[in-house]
Amino acid sequence: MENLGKNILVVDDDPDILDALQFTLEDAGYAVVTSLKGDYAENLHDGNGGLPDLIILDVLLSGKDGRLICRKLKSQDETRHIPIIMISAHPGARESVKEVGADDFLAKPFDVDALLARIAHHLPPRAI
Amino acid sequence: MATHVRKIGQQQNRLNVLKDSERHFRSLLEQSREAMVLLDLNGVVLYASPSTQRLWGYPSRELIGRVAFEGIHPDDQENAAKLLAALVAEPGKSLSITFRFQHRDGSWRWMEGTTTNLLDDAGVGAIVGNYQDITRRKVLEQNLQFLAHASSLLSSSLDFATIWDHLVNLAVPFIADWCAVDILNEQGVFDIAAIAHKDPAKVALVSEYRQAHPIDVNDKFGLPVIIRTKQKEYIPLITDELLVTIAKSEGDLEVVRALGMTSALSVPLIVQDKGIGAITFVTSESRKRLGETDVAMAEELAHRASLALENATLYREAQQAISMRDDFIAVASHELKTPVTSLKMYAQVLQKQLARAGEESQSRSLAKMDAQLDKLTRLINDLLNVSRLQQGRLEFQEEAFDLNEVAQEAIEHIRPTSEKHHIQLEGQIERPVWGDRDRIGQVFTNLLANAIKFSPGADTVIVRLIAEPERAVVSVRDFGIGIEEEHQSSIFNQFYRVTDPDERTFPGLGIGLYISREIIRRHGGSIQVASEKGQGAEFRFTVPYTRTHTALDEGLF
Repeated sequence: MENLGKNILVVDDDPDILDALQFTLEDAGYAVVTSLKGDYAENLHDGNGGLPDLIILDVLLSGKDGRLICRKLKSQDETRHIPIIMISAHPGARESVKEVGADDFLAKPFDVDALLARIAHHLPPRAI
Repeated sequence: MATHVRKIGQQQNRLNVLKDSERHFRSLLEQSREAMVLLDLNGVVLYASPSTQRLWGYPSRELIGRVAFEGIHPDDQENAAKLLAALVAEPGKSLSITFRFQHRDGSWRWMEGTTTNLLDDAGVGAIVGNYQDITRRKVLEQNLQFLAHASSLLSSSLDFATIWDHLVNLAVPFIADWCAVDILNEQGVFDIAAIAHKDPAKVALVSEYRQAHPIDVNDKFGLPVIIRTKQKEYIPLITDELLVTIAKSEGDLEVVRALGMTSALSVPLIVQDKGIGAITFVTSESRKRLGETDVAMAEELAHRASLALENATLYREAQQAISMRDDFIAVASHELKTPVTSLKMYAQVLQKQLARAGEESQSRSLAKMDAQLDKLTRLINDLLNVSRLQQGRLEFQEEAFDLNEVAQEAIEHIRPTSEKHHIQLEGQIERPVWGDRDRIGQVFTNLLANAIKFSPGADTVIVRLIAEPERAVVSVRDFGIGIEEEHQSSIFNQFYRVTDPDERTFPGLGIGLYISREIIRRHGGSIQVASEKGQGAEFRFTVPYTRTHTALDEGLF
């Protein structure tokens, strides 16, 4: 499958959403790492098992604001290039995620096809 | 001789007739409720009828020789002087006038009557004034005016602090020289909610005094008793002995003496049958004694203020309830969306997997499940939107967009919900339109969902895009049950659902059309329906090409 070998990090404080996203993304051929808390994403660096190719990040995490994590990742040279798609059940969050440098936004609930299309858009097949 | 005697007798008779006549007129003047004065051309009193004693407190001999203007209220003197000049200029002229005249006791009496120039009349040779006392009527008029003004001011705000502020400023100086509102707070302490005094320096004095001497709720007089009994406390004349009794110390006595109080009155403020505070009226500098009329006025004012307060309380409670409901809806809709998000992903991925495995029929079932999840999502969004609309918090993101695309997307979106209906799209809008793309899409979806829902026996829905010179018009036409004329004006109201017992029931929250109308209105457009029962319905709405000054800008609704 063409997506084989692409790593996606999914951060959401709801374990059911994480499960569903893992199921969805693995069906599409991606390798998925999930995280319930923002800490892992916040402290991403190259040495720690490598960087993901793309991050799906919930806006409101329990105890943390996903937007602050996004801003931090987009301000570091090491992680700036990683596309971040933010997701939220508040459709009004669309504007605020633009401000923190997120590459895309999807309101929950979303269509799987729409999600996969966005991922593909930000993650063109790697040249061999 | 006989003739002479007869002549004398006749003269005597004539004299008696004259004397009778003079007695008659004198008695008339003395009994009269009116004051009659004769003035010379400079306004000097030549004659004053005995009734002036009763009306103004002066016996006529004390008025004669005085200039009439001296007794007239400073504010009315200019008017009176003009009147006299106009009269002197034209013999025989008569003019009516209203003025205030100072009674010997210092109070002002309202007088009304006519003044006539009879200087050229040989029998009179003076300017004649006839005046009656209209003070009672005047006071009544002013009181009614005052109360009407008070009512409108009190009802102009729902904020307590503003209500009290209005109240005390109304009462000073109309009723008293100073007025204060005290409210018993939740800690059982009396707070001065508002205070007004003719002399601002005294406001500080009263406030300082109160800070140093908080009112003891167990006091046997004053505010605590008024609140407990819901009865007024009225002291027509404050004597020094009284001050000595109430003062708690020498220093105290000094302060209360410095306030120079004449008369005092406290009336309770009652809300929902509970004494919550009091309005206190005090006279000092004016030396005015609060009388029966003032007491009646003060009680009426307190009554109206209590009503205003009750309204404000009810309004505040209602607002809190609405705000709690909206917060709840916001949280609930967010929570509901989370499981729907997971469900959708599973349904869609399973559908793909089954399709890949060639399980067509099961894949279709999952597609139906997915369509139902979309319906559920719309219901959740509608709930949230309706509560946001009411609070004016629905966000709009304006841009130029392609209306044809939005129509196409909405049709694609709604298509899976009905296998039977064929949705046709006719016409095209060449120019971009202006507004919130997603919200306009929501209007399409709402109208299409209704068209399908209310046409179970038909198989066609037609969407038409019409390019008018000034705006784009969208028509959504179905061939369903139609809407009776009596319902057509109500269908855009929130929570409106057709409840005709003969008709089959149609599920829904009854908010789709309400939200649609609000969205279109905020774009400066309109939405209408044309329908006949049994003949289907056509909904039309407009979308502007360019940004218009609309309620969108003002954040109304």
